[in-house]
Amino acid sequence: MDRKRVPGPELSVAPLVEYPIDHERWTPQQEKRHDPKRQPEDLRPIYLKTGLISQASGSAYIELENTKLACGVYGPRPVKKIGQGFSGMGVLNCDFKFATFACVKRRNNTRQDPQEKELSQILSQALAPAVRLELLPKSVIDVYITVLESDGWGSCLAAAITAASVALAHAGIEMLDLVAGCSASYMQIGPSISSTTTETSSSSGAGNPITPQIQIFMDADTEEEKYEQGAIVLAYMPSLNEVTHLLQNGKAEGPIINQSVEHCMEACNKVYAVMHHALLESMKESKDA
Amino acid sequence: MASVADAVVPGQRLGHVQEFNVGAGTYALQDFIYASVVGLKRIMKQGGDNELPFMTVQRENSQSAIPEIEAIVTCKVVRVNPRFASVNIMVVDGKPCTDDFQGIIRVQDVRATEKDKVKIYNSFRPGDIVRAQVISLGDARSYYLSTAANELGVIFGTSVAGGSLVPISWQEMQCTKTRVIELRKCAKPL
Amino acid sequence: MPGLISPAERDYILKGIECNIRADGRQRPDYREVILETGVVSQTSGSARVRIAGGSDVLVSVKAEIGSPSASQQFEGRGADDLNNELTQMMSRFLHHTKTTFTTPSSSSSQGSAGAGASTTAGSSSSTGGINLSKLCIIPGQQCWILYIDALVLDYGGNLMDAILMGTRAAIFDTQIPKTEVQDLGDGQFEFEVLDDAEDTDIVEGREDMPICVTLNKVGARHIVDASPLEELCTEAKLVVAVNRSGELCGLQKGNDGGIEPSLLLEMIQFGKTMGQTLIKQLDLKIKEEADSDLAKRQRGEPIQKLGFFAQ
Repeated sequence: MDRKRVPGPELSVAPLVEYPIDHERWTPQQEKRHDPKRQPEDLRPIYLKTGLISQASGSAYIELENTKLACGVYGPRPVKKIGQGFSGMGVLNCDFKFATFACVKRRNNTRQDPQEKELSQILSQALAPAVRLELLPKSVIDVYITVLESDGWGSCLAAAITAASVALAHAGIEMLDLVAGCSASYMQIGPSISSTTTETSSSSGAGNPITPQIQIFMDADTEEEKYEQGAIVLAYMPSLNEVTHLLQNGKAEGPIINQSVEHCMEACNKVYAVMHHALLESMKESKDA
Repeated sequence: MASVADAVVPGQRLGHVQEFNVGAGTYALQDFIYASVVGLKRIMKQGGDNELPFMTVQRENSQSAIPEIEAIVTCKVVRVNPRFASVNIMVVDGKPCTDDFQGIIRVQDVRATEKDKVKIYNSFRPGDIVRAQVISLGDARSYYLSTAANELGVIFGTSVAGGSLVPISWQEMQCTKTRVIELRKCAKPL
Repeated sequence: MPGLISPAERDYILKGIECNIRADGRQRPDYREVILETGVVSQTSGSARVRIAGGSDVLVSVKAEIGSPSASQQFEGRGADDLNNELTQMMSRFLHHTKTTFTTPSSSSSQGSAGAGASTTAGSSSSTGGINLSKLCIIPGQQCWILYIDALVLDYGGNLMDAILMGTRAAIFDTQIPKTEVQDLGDGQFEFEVLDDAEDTDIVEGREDMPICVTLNKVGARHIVDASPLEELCTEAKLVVAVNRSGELCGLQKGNDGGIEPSLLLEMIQFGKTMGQTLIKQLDLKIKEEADSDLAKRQRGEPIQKLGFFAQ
C-alpha cells in the first residue's frame, strides 16, 4: 500500500468511456498497423536531442511518439564502490529505471525490480563493445536511463540504447562507433474480416492457405505488442557493421528471424542518421552559444 | 575556419592508414582511420616532408580528465600519516576533474635523495596544494604520486596562524603574517 | 571458478580454436558427454540431474502445488548476484510468454559445490515454453497447479545455461501431477478433490515442445559450443539460442561485452538451431530409454537402481 497518497473512496467505480459507435478495437491485419499512417516497415518519427541534463557530463532525450526517455551520462569518475578490485579497464555501469507513472500499471520506485535489473544489464552489454573502455583504467562511466513514458517494451529498450550512445558521445567519451537500437514484433495476421473475399484468397492461394501469415512490424507500440507472437531487439554499430546485442523471445521459424534481423539492421541505419544529425546539431548549438 | 563538413561523430571514417598517422580522438581499425569522439576533423602537419600528417579530431565536449601515468597533477592533501600523505587529485595536466580522484604520496616518493630521512609531517600538512606526478595507477583505491623532482611539491599552503606561506628554500616556507618558518617539500616556483 | 586468465593461456585457447582443436581434445562443434538421470529425488513431482562430463552438475526439481492463478506473474530472482538475475530472466523469456499461470522458479547457486542454493522463484506462463497451461487449471480463475521449478547448481564447469535448461526439460518430462475431481456446487461455487492414486496421474501436457538452449561462444572469428570455464573467459560474445523439437526458435540473447558481425550472427543462429534439434532428439531418446527400463523393472518387481550422487 502506498501510504503517501490518498487512496480513492472505497465505493468508486471505473469511469464510463463512451466509444463512438463505429469504434473498432485494433487487431492485427495485413499491412495495417495500430497507427494507420504507418507501414509495417516504418519506424515512429524520432525526436532526439542532446543536453537535456545540464549537470551530467553528457545527456540525451529521445521521443518516439509515446515512448519518451531521458539519459544522463556521468563520468568517467573514480570507482566508488568498495570491494571492487583494481581493474585495468573502465567499467560501464548502466542503470535503467522506469518512472512510477511510465507504464500502464504503477511501478514501485524504491528499488530496481528484476526487469529493470535485466534491462540495465542488457544495456551495458549493448554499449560496452562501442566504448573504448581500455582507455579509462580505474574509472567508471555511469549511464542513467529514466523512462518517462513507455509505449512498447521493445521500443523502449531500443530507444534507451540509441539515447545512451548519443549521450556517451555527447559526454566526449571515446567510442568506436555509435550504437543504434531497433525493435520489431512479429505476429500472425488474420485475414481482415471484411475483405476475406476473392482478393485475399487468391493471393494467399498461391502458398499454403493453412499456414498462418507472419508479418513483421517494426517498432511496435503497446497495442501491437499485445498481439505479438514474439519480438526482437537489435543493437547495431552501423559503420563497423557489428551487432552488439540481440534479444528475441517468442516462437518463430528461422527465416522470420533472419528477416527481422535484416529489417532491424536496415532500420538501425535510419536511426543512425538521426543520431548523426542530433550530434551535429549539438555541436552547432554550442558554437552559437 | 572550420565548416560543418569537418564535423564528425564517432565511427565516421576519416581516411586510410597510408595517408595519415593516428592522432588524438581517432583510432585505426584494419586499414582505415575512424573518429572516436564528436568534434572537428583536423589534419596536423608535423616533422619532415616524408612523415605522414596526423589525423586528429578536436573534441567538442571534452571528457572530464582522468589521471594517467606520468601526468602532472595538482592535488590537495587531506590526511597525513607517517607512511604516506593522502591527497585528492583535482587537476590533471591542466584539465579539471569533475570528481576528485584519490591518490597517495608515499614517504619514499617525497624526494629523490636521502629518502630514509623523509618525514611526511615535515613535508606535507592537510590543506596544502601540491603539484605531483603520477607514477602508477596504484591499487584499487588510490593512484600513486611522487614529488621527487625540483618543480614538484607544495605550491600553496596555509600556516598554523592562518597566513599564506611563501617558499624560502626547498624545504622551508615562511608565514607572511607571523614570519614563522614551517617545514614543507616545496616546489620550485616556475 | 577461475576469474582471470593469463595472456599466454588465452592465446593458447584462441589459437587452438582457430585450428579447430580445443584443450580437452574436442572440436569446435562438439559437446561434452552429458549424463542425464530423471527421478532422482523422491519428494518432488519430477526431478532430473544433468551432468556435463568433467563440468557442470545441475539438479532440477519440479514441485506441483495448488495455488491461485493471480500469483506473481514474473520470474523473480531471489538472490541478488548478476548471474542469478540473468539466468532467471533468460529462463522466463525462453519458457514463457503471455497469459495463464505456470510458475517456474529457478534457483542457482552461482558456483562451488553442494549446499548453498539460493532459491529463485518465478511465476509465469507459456506459449513459447510449449506447456499447455490450460491443462494445469483446476477451477478457472481460482485454483490451478503451479509448477515450481528449482535448479540447484552442484558444480560449475562451464555452460551452465544449457545444462539447466536440459535439466528443466527432463524434470518436466518426469513430472507426475495428481488427478483432480471438480464438483460444481452451483452458484459459481466449486469444490475439488485431489485423487490420491500414485499410479493414476497426469503428465504435463505439451512437454515435448519445451525448448532447450545452446550457448554459442564467439572466440576470435569462430564460435564454439559447450565452453569450459577457461574458454568462457576468452569469449568475446556469446549467443544463447533456445530451440524446440520442431526447430522453431524460442529465444535469442546475446551476452558478454562484445559484438558479432551480422553474417556470423546469422550463421550462429542457424548453427544453434540445428545443434539444438539434434541435441533434443538425443535427450528424448535417453529419457525414453530410462523410462522404459524403469517401467520394465517395476513390472518385474525389481528394484530400480539409480546412479546416485557419487556415480562417475
